[in-house]
Amino acid sequence: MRWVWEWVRVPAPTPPPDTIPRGLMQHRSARVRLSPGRVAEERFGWLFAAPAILYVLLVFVIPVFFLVYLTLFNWSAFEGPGAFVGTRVLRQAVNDRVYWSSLLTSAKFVLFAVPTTLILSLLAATACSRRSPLPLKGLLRVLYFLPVVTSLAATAYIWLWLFNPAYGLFNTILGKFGLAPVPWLTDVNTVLPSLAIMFVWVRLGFDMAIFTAGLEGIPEEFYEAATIDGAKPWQAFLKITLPLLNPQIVMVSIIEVIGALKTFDLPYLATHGGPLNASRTVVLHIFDTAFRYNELNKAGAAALIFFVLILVITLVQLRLTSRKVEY
Amino acid sequence: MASKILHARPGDFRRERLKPGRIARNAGIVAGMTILGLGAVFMLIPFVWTALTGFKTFEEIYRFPITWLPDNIFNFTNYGILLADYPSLRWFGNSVLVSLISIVSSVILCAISGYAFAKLRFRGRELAFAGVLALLIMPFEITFLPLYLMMSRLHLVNTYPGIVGPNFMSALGIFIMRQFIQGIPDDYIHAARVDGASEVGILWHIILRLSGPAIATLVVLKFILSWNDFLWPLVMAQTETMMTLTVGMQTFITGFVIDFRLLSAAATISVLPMIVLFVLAQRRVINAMIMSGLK
Amino acid sequence: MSKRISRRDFLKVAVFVPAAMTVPALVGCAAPQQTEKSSGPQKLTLWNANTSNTGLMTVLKPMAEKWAASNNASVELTNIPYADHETKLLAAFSSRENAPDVFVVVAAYWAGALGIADPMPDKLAQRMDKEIVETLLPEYKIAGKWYSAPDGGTVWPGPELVYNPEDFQEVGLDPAKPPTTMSELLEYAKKLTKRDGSGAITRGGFAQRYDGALGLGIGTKFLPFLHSFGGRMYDPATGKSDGVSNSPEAIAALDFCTQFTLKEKVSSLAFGAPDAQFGQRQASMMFRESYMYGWLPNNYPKVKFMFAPIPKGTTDKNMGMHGLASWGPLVYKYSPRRDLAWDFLDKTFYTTEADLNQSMLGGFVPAFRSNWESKYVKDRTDYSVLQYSLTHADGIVYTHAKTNKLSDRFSLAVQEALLGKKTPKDALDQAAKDMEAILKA
Repeated sequence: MRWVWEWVRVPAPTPPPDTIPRGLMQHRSARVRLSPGRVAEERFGWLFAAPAILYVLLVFVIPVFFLVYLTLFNWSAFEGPGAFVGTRVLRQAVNDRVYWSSLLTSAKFVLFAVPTTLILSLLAATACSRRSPLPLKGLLRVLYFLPVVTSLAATAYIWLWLFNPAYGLFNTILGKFGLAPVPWLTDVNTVLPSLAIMFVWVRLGFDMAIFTAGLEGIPEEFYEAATIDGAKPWQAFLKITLPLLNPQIVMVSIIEVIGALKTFDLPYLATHGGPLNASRTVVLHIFDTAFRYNELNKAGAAALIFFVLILVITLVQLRLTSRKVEY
Repeated sequence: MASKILHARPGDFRRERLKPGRIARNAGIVAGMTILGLGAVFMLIPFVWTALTGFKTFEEIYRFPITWLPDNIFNFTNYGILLADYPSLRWFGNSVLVSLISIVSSVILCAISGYAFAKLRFRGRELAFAGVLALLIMPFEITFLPLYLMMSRLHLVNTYPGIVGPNFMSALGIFIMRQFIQGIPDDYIHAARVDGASEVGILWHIILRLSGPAIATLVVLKFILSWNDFLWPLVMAQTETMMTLTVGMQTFITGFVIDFRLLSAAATISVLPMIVLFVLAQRRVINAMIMSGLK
Repeated sequence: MSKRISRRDFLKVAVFVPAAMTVPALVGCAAPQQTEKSSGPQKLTLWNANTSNTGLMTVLKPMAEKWAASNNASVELTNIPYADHETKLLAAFSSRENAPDVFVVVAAYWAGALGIADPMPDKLAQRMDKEIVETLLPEYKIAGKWYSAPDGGTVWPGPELVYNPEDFQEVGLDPAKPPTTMSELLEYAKKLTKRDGSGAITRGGFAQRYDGALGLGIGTKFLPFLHSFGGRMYDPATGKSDGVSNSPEAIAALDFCTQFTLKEKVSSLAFGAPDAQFGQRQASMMFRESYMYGWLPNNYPKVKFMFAPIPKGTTDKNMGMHGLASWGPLVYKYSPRRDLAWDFLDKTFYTTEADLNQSMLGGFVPAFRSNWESKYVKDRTDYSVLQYSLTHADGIVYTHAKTNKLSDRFSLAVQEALLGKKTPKDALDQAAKDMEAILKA
């Protein structure tokens, strides 16, 4: 193997990495002679990034091509590829009313779940941050992080139990306070909020940890200056904390929106799309189309459309929310 | 705090305590603690319920009005059935093995490629990273079938490498490592290069030494994802002895009724290692996540 | 370093890195489970998705080992989770080599609708004709060909009325005289319902299955009513749904059901599954299959129960399982070991002793005629009900390829009506239109 390292590790005399002015290097079309060190960097870059590139090829590019193949040919799980059907299946998927209503359901779920998670985790992180006077912060952080580590497959059925309208724990507690029982997962109007509660439970600890990280990075001086100026705690929160946490807020909101749009386990395990398809989210619909109804080509088309949509949404989110944070 | 005590005069502390702002502050603390405490209880309820249900009989589970505690707290029959009638130890072992393989593999490969994306400039870097991001967006339930077919052609079905499968790396891992390594000052690397270190040397001595927090985060995330992974082990395991714990648990959900006793017992076993690990290492883990500065 | 050398060397490296990564994969190939080489004993794989049939493994494993020993083969029996068996089977079938040789599923769907099963060899088929109870024929003999026989854990002959005699006595009804017509069922339910101060049901007269999840759940629970009123989910013979799913009979049946949940309010939609309700004394009557005979004493030993036939509606024909719950082993039609598989099934599954032993373990009803003469069957408290079901079966089986989608859509309409979101007529009219589109697509 020595020759590999010899080749890649081009022996460089000790110049600094850049012997050529930056401007020239930024022109991709300019055929510049790169320094040996630069060449080594480039080759090592490819070498080290190769696992990642291979991974993306294997797990993303090839499956996407397969999805296109599924859609263009009538691919059946049992018999293999069928006739070439062109864009017929794609058009069918676009015209499918149930598909679009499932997209709407997913959107509604995102609206319920993501802002709640964001706000609650932000508040919890602030309450457990270094500056907060509350005791037992470390313990609380641990407790809130516990749901993140559990498997939804195990806990979903427990949640079904807790949410049971007749003998579930939540309605029993409500009854003790004299409140009317809530139908939770069994009513079309309350099923999405109930699933959102489960989502918050699973994700809160993780977002809280990220926000705590961001909070630690805000210099103490800002708050001291604010106190000297006579600002109240909530004013400090609005004017100092929130703007400076912007990178974290952006990152968390993007991650959570993607996660909520992609959500599959929750509706699959808890309600399987019911009651009356009120919780039939997109990925669940695609999955059912593929495996329960045995219509793989339609599922492939629906999946492609969904992927494009999610890509667009994420890009739009990035555009809208990128603000440079100046200290 | 210490200086306050050392330089105190008589009456200082009493004056402190009785200041109007102080009372409001204390009230705020109590209120805050109550809310957070309720939140913590909310976080814990499903765990506690699962653990308790593992000790109940069928009749106790469906009892109405509900009873929290099992009649006999030491009723280990469910666990007994679990161990005797189902290869649950094997399932547990499989979960551990598969998780370990995917964690080790992920950390190594993600650190290497994270460094490449963060610090090394090469043609196509942005495109490749965009591919990684696109991978984050794609739901796995949609892409697993072609992967399964590929694995099948390679005769890897029902083998440990097969069950690890696409988990040998992680798009999120690449993302995290890249973000963190970007935060390592370039000067270290330039200095090392000037000293004549090879890229591999830089990787080993500098990047890996400094990435402790990010690697810890990655280990935690990968462990969670891998341990709780359901769909992939489901299609890859052909025999019961190769199933992981999460898949094995699902056999308790039959067409006619859900066997909550065994499901809860298995779920408790499934959750226990992570909770134990977490409680033991929690300071380090959460601080690692905090310090990894996911900015 | 000149450019020419570097390009060649670069190619070498570009191959080296991926190769290095596939080394572990190749090592994995050397790992266990390489079965395809035909030298040496053949291996038969059987996947069981009917995990409710707890007796299957207990009974079949020793028989399988004996058969394997005398046939220079090996048999591997695996339970796969019911909840995702469709996914797993579809994935396995799409990669032919990993498909199981035998799989225990809902036979009418996988053999009839999906067409993935191998028909029985003639000799075995003739034996089935003679030995299996006739009523089961439409479920397992599809288009004149045998594909499977019940696995001893199937819930035929279909739902029965299960009721609590103590509750009957409590309200002054005679336990020996269960309701025989649908209107009687409603009357009895009204008498048996107990409410608390606020009017909420504490004990329903009848447990109407409300299942927010899979369509098959509530579809099967509405079908007894539907078929006793002469309705059909869709017409399997003509493949039509318009006019069938929303026929006057179907609307009448659904209307009748809404009496239970909406008008007279004798069924609670808040409690859990009917069997749990019944066991917890939260309901006095329910429609459930015959395996309650074994299941209730196992799980709720204190509850008393008796069986009766499904009450008559406008007809006295009983529904069977209608292809929605007819479990049985199928042989994969592209398996290279088909003949071996059939021999295995012939000698193990399709024997009277396997049939009887599995049934006894779970409280199920055996499928072989000779087993019906056994003490186990004759001693069953629902023996008379079983006899009635045998002679009054209507023989309809739903075997369309899109049965899953159709029953999901149909169940949606049923749920909508039961919850009062739509009138029965509207719900079924819309369902019929959608189902017609599904059938045509």
